[in-house]
Amino acid sequence: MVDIESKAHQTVPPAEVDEVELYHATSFWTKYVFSQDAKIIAIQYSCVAIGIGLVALVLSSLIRLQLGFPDMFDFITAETYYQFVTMHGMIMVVYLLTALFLGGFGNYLIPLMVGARDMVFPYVNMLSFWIYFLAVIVLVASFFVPGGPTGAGWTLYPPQAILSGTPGGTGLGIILMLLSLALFIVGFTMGGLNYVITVLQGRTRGMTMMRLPLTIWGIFTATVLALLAFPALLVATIMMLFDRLLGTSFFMPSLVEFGEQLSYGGGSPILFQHLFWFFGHPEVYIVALPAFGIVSDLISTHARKNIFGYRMMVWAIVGIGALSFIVWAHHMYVSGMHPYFGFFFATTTLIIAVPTALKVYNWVLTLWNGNIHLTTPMLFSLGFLVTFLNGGLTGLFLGNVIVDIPLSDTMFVVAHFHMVMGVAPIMVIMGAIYHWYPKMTGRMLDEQMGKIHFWVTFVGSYLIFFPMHYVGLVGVPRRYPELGDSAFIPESVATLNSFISVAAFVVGFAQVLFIYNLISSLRNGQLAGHNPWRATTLEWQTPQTPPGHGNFDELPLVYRWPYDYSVPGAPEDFLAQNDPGQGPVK
Amino acid sequence: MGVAIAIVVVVVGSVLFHLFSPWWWTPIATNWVFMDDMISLTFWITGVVYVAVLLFVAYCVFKFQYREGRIAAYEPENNKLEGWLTVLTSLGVAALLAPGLVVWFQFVNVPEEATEIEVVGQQWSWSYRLPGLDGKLGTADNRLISVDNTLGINPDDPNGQDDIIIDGDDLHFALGKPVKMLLRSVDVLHDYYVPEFRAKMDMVPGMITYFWIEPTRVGTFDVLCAELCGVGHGFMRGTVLIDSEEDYALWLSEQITFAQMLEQRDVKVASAVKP
Amino acid sequence: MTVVLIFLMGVLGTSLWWLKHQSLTSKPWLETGLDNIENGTASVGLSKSKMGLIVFLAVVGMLFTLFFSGHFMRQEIEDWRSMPLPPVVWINGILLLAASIYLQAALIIARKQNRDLSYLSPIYRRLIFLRGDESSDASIKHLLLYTCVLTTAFLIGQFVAWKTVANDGFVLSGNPANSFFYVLTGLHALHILGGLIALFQTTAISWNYPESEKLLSRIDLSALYWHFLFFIWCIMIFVMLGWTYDPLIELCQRVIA
Repeated sequence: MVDIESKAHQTVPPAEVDEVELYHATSFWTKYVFSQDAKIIAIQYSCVAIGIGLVALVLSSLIRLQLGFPDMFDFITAETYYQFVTMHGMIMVVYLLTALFLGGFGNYLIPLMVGARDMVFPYVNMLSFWIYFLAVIVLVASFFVPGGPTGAGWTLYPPQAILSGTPGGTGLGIILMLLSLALFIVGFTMGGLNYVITVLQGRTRGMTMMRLPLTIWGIFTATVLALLAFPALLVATIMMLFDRLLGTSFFMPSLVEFGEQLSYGGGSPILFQHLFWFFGHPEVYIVALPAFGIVSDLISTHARKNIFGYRMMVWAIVGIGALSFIVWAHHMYVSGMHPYFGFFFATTTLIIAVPTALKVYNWVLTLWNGNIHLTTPMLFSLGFLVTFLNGGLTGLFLGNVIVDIPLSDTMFVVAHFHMVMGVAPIMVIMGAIYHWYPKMTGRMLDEQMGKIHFWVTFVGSYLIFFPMHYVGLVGVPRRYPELGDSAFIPESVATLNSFISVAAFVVGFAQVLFIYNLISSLRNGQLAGHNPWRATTLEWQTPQTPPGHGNFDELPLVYRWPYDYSVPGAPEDFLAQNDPGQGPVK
Repeated sequence: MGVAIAIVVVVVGSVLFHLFSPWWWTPIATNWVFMDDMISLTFWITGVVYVAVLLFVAYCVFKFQYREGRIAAYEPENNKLEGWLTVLTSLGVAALLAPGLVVWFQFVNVPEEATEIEVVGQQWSWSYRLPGLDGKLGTADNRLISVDNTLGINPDDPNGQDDIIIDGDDLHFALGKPVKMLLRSVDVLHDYYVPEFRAKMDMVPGMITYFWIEPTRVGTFDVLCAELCGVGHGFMRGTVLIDSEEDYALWLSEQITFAQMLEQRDVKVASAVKP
Repeated sequence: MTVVLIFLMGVLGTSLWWLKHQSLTSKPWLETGLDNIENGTASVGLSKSKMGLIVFLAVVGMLFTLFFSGHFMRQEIEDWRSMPLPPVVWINGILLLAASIYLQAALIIARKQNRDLSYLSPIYRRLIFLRGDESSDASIKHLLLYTCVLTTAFLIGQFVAWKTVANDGFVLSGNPANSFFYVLTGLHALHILGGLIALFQTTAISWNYPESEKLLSRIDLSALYWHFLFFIWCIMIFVMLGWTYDPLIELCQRVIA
């Protein structure tokens, strides 16, 4: 039974949110460089993150050159190989994914989607970006110092990270790495406070927590996790800097390096691992939760159907966030920690699989009985579903302590985390860029190019990482620049490695098309209009596209949840959140 | 249509790859067959989920693709369905976890009759120490390491005098005799990794870690390091052999003890000084 | 890591308690309109900046908790040699406590916007060095100034403490107990320094624009920050004196080591 009431909505009182005093920039410098507008900051964050991400992409190609065609390139030695691996990992996890999801999408979408004029502390927000930028500069600088960047692996495990057997260990490499991380954390904390407080205190009238789009739920929860998890990394970096520079022994036991007794003594390398992974595991969800949120909105919008089980999705995000703090030691099953920890952490790890699986079911069930538009964002969402499901399921191998023992530190692990934390979130990032680019620039990205980009990226990435699991199953350890002479590794693994490398180059090259699309569509893209995807959330209801300073003329009032797609009896197949027209009697 | 087919191709391709892949684990040489079984079990359970979910996605994409005039259903939630899915998932997870924890319990509890072997890792080589006739290893400390005592064995500990030192040579195991591997590192983190053993564990300076195995197959196997330990990580290799009991006894009789090693050195030094 | 988990449980508990009041079990698709919903706007009855500070303090709390937990894990190993704290830290503690009290007094006066201070009992006035005939504006000025002076004295005192222990041979790279002493007190001093810079600004505002709306909010935030850092300082001293050996921590150390 459907009944559209025409209740007089002119009686609705105006917004009760206090109008905030906005900072009005006047010069070019304050408008576009030292900008305090979250949208500009978002674009700055995104450009720097994508820029440094491309560096990491080039590094990954160099890694694959060595693995696919060992001994063919003289400039890749074991030393440079480890430097490439380390910098690739660190850049991708911290400086690209974290910065892009929270600094980029968070800054752009939070104020718009909750109906605020800007972040609550715009000045701090600006500082956040510039400190991040400084962190990136320091990171890049480490490529140019004597000895080069650190080659300790992105986990930076002591003692080797600060000893001479590791590239950059006794030079400036590791120092710059640690400084850069510390800067990143300080900058991020400034931004993170903004994201959290804006969601808590900046919502417009009618925007209850349960009317927030899942994108905001994901970014919000991820930010809370990051605020609580990054201090662990900060503590670890401070202690390691002291060990390296001032001769303390926080992480350094008494040891003999190449026959020479060092003056360290009594420190605990395991303490570092606990601190690192206490940050490191929530970090996985800091990247995953925004992706979960965004992909929910993409699927719902492009399938013209409400997200299935909204409440369950919110609970799952919160639950996964809380649980993610008590699973960290599943990265340390073979670290030599007390073996009885294995029981606890295997159990918590597998429990976290349940809410995660529910999210997957709900995305899939959203497709059921939908009206699926196979746009580029939708294709990327489907790509995310496939790769995330794959990576999530292999997580069940590695989370189960006894299965992890034979597989840990093999290429299986590399394949697993690239699938679940590399390819899957990047699918979402791509989809999100195709989805929101029209709002950010006023023009559509080229769909034809977008589809080619999708197919090459998706199929290519799958061909890289799916077979890689089997390289690990054979027993090939990770972080080996070449296979060497080992009886247990058949010749054919080298062939497979070459194949994977070729696939990797194709995928890497396909990103040129994407960058070209981003740049050329600025000028040549089809005009988007204010709501090209006919979406319900507030960012699509702004009077100007791209939204002007202050986002809205008058702050919007929110009358409904963000998923009123295909409401029976409604005049169109979507009802915007600020549309006062009554929904059906349900 | 094309997208649905592509997803089906991914699913079928993955399954076929799995079934016909020539890349599989090396034949096991220890008692940890359970680990292989657990991997197989996990493959089965996760494989079924993977195939089922993706085929469902493919069907949805095929069936509910945009058509002029189609209206999507309005279906905010379905508690019953979600409840069932939660229960099923929990059951699947429990089916993986429960046997896994049982095997883990066996893994961390070393059988009484296991003999001890100490493995010492350093950048970038492996050394070993076996308890002598007394069946006990002497104490050791990184502080005691010197040119003459590369493993840092305590020269004042009577238990250590008859310890057998294997420095820069292969280690042998006796078939069917359970062994507790005590792992020690001189400098940085290492990980004693023999793919055929399945079991492995990090070596942490300042700590002694362990795992245990029971060799079940005669053969020669590669030792690798599985925890990044500096530029030489990829070249930190060795060889171990699993021998029949007679061969093992023969090999053992040819090894020298810590006391003999110190003596030999003294003799060498003395003869070098005399002329 | 047990202390960290206890701290986290506190933070997560607070968040979940708050979330509970966000009608998480409601069915948002059934509720249309503006009026039949609760918590429509800013749902925490605090200003944005106060909320911001509280979240920031949670982060700082996490940072210190992690250091404490590192301290606990380390002090279990037998080569740990507890370091005697120099007596000057007790004076510093009193200085910081006094600064905190002064700031609180300034806050109380700033909140009551009336001109005369007769509501303050004479003893209390004597205690915080206020003359009887002062206006509230003047007393806020003075109280803020006292706080600045006391806090600066605290920082100098901490520096003296460092000098004292260094002269006694407890250098940074010596026993890990020393390393922890320097790092923890240094980190704490850095936080105090950051707060002090903001407090100088606040003091300047109180002299130049005593009527400014910002003043009350700034005093409010500073007071909270000072109380928090005093609290952290107390815990820090407790931890460094090794007074925290209770069964719970022992248990945690046994499990973690």
